[in-house]
Amino acid sequence: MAVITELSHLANPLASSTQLETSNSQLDGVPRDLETSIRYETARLLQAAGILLRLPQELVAQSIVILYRFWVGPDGGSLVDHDSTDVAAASLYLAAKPSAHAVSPSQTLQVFHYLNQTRPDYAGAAKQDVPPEDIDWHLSEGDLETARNRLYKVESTMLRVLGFQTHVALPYGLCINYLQTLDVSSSTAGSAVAKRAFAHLNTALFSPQLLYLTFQPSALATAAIYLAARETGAGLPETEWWEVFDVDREDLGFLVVALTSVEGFATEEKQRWGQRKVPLSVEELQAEMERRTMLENGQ
Amino acid sequence: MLSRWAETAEDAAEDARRKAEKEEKRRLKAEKQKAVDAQRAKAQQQNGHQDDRDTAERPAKRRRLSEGTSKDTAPQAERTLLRFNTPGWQPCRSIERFDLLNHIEEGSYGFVSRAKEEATGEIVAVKKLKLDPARDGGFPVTALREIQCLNAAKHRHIVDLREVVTGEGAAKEDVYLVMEFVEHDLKTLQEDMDEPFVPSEVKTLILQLGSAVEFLHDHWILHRDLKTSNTLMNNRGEIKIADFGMARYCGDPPPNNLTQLVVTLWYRSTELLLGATTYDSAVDMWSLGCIFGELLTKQPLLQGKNEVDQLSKIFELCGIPNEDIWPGFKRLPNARTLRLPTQSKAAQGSIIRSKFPTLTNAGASLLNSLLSLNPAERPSAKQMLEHAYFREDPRPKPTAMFPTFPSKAGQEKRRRQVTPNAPVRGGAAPALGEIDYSSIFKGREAEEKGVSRGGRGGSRGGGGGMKRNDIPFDIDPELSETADRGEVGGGGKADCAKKIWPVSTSSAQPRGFSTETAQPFGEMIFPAPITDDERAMVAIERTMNAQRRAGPFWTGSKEQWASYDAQNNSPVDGVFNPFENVATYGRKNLKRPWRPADLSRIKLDTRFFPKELHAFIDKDDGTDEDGNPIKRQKKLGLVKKSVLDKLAKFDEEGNEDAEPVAEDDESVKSDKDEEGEDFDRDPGDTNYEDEEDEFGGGDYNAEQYFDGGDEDFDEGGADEYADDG
Repeated sequence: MAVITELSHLANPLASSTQLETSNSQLDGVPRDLETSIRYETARLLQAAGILLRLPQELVAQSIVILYRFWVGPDGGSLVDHDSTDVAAASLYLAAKPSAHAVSPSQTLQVFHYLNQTRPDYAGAAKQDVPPEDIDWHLSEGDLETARNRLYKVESTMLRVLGFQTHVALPYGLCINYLQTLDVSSSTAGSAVAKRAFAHLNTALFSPQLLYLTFQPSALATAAIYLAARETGAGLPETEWWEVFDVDREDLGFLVVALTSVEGFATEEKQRWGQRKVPLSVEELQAEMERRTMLENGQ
Repeated sequence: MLSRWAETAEDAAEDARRKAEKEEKRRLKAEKQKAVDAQRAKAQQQNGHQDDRDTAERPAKRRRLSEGTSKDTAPQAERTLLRFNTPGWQPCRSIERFDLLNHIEEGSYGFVSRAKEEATGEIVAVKKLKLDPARDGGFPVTALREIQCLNAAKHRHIVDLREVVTGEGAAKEDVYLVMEFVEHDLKTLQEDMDEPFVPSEVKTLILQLGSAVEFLHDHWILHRDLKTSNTLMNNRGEIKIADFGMARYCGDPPPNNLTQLVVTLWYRSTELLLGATTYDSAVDMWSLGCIFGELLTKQPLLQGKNEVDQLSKIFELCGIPNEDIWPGFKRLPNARTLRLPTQSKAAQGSIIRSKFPTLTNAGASLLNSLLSLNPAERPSAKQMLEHAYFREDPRPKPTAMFPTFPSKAGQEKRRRQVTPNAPVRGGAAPALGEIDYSSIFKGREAEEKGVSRGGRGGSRGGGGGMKRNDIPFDIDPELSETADRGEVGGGGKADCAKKIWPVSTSSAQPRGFSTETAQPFGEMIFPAPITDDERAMVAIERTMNAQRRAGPFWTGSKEQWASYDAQNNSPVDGVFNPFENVATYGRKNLKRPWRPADLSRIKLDTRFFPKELHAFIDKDDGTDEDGNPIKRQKKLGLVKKSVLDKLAKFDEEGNEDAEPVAEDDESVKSDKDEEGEDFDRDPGDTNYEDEEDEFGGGDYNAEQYFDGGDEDFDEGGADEYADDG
């Protein structure tokens, strides 16, 4: 059986079971659900920042994957040690740096500063072309300097924790390729299926199940196509076509369930936090944890 | 239509038809099956052993659970899916796990050192990155790209990035790339080589380079800094491309905002020099062409001083571009200001063919195509590998057949030419100063001892003391320490060969020798490819030169020596010079072999010997100061085992009745006979008889050693020698 052992455009490094089992944050006493919430929040933050910085979605996806990799595992970063906004900014900066769309540190920091003011409504902020006047989005020169130094520091910490493993293979290109192979893209439903599949791939970035860290791009692309075709009503072969793309039925089934469940997770998160801010800095996190312990003790 | 796979009316009809067909088939089959089952049940009832049959005739297909609804599917072959078993990630390990050995080089990107991994003992190259977050905007993008590209480019001819490690404690921010250690880079290697690579070697090198570049381009990586100093070569003739500091991923079509400030000037292609910001893999092919030319001549092909000079050098070699051969080149940023010479026919076209007269036509055409001014004209790496040049004679040399070289990075040194320059006649003897040359007589001392062991008393020498002398060679302390002190007389020459060690070779290695293979002798780096005889010759020649330079070596006037010579009936005219004798003997142009006994007649002035040596000279009981028997075997195992055996036997029999061991050896006997005639011994020497025996033994051994050396050493029968490495 053919086995791919090298990283390439097809293959990603995946998180090991030990890394998925626990995280440094949990070892530091951060509850699992709070960690998940923060991770979700920072992913949203990154997505919004990517839109504001006019970065291609590939870079946003890469930065989210890098961010997840940093937090995962007992050797990973801990939420107690680093502000998650800093880490998010650093991962975006790091992902964009070697690409053709490098952003400057000040651009990154300004955008994150601005988004920090607008949270939790990132979507709204990302849609606006001009920042609302009531928000002070400008970083002073001094603040910028300190923030920049912090960014560099977090960046180097991230690289060290990741063992310089910044390779991220994404399923977007594969997805188009597969649609062409299935002869779907040329049909009338083609663009609708592709759009929907891409939407699913973007959604998968927010999944609390860390799909990009547990599945190879080919599986993600296949599952997205499967779901998209079902939703748009485009016909697909009746045989086990996913095996052509080296995805077995179990993986496909799991991914389809996982992808469809993200919506429920997002709604739940929205309800849970409402207009409250998800703690994105170390201080906020500690305050939140104290609040929780107090609540527990009070009950 | 929705999609090719969507249902249509026709599809439905077809489906219905197929369904009906299937149904019919299934019904028929079920009936058949029923009949078979009934029969079987019958047989079973009759025989009454159901178990046997069950195991013997297991149904090939899975038993259907429900007969009515199951589909009739053919047994499917197990489909094999591509599996992924990719490595994960983990935090960087610490540099503390590596022992730094030596510095290799320093560049703008960082320091490269040789290091040993503590756990495995593997030798690696460690590149410490120069980091300046404020300047580079955090971690330098070049380093990031280098790591990413090297991680993505795992290829036989691309240097292997094993891991990235970081510093510890205060130096936590330091980043080191741990790569496989490769002994040479082509640039330094070429600088050290007397001759350029031969055509078959060039072919192999270019093929390897080409395969690596093909791999890179296949993986959408542009190297953008190919040059000989970035091309490493190991001792097995394998090429490894290194230094991906300029590398980056590219796409097709290539991105349009690439920097033109890439590739070292001498290897930079025309489109880059003309300021193109959109370029592709052709820039690497141009560099490859430059390397090709450089390998052929050992000189960088186009050594421009600056961009303008570089372009003019290119035009000189490859001709002047025009719209025919390079459509659109005028639109490049720097081409607008370019004032090209008026094009005469002579100035046009490439002169590569005439510049490389020894290159075959195919080779010239390859070089020409790689150095096409128009990037679109250059072949891809894949096309290059298929070029006829590589299929014609001489065929590419197998990498295993490549010569090896001392590695500069591994701190191996090339053996300098050991033959010294001839001394200038009439020149003043060099001032000598306080140089302790007592060690030169360590070898002599052994001879002396051999003689005195034979019971010979104060042998008479030509003269009293001697002058201090400058000698251009050093005696390897380790070797002289372990010199076989017991070896009788004849050992003298052998000692001479082994102990007197040219200075420049003591830490040197010749071509054809790597550290790995040089180690069987322990710490000593031993220039094994030189035969013992050669080394003896070198040592002797140096001694002689030293003597000539330094004036009279032995005290005593010329007359004294002449008289001594006359008494001894020396075969050499004029002044008796024992060393000259040795040398002439070694050159085999002297009929009568030199007899070590001659040397032993000379009484050395021991006043100049270090005190500890007196012990050796005075003592002659075959033991050292502590009373332990002196070890005879030579450290480096250069003495033939048979000689040693004979020596041992000689020892056992004692000195008094020491006989030449191989009585049946004709040559030895005749030698002995000759000796009687040739030697006009001093009648005053009372120990004549003893001496005779002693000489015989000594002579024999010397003969044996050197004759054996002539024949056997060439055969390389290592097992014949005492194995005491």
